[in-house]
Amino acid sequence: MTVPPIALRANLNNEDDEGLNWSLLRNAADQAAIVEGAVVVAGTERFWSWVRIRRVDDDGQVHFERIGPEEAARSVPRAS
Amino acid sequence: MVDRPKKQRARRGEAAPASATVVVRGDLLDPDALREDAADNFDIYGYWGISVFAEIAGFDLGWIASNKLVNARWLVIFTARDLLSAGLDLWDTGQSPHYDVVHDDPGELVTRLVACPHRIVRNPAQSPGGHR
Repeated sequence: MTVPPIALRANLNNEDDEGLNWSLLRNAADQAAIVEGAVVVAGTERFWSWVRIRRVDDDGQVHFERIGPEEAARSVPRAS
Repeated sequence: MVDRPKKQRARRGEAAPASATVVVRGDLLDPDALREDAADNFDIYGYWGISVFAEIAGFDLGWIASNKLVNARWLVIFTARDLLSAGLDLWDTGQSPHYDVVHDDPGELVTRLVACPHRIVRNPAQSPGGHR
């Protein structure tokens, strides 16, 4: 599978206290795109997933959940 | 980044994993990536930590590989005994079966983790591109 552009560099091993994955806003290709509800690609070229942004904290911590390609395609046509 | 108070990381308060417990991390051990991950963790939680998962409380390697790490092509597998023997700590952070491998020096954290005995296996459950 071709890796789509990574919108949010992230380590998908990371989990917060709620069990959500997380990264930092400074790791985003375009910080303006990382908002609650956005569906983007997070991870690295070897370990990535479509994700839905759940929350962006004042300290720059971005919380997100991994979603399947089918769910991503419903939000982002290029995901299909 | 503005110097602000760090978040308090929740600890579950569980007993330390048994020495033979399997500990797994998704993806290959890239020292540069590990340093970046430890730095991100420090910026948010105020300690140098690298996320892993452990076979505890009924969560076995198959479950971890097909749920937590389903998007990872490679899995790196340690034992708790080898991590602790390397002078690293295992903190029961977040929700089970998540842990952080911790050391108070970021350079030592990465060096010791990479040098720790481990094996690398292809993730048989890998599903590129999205959690299913």
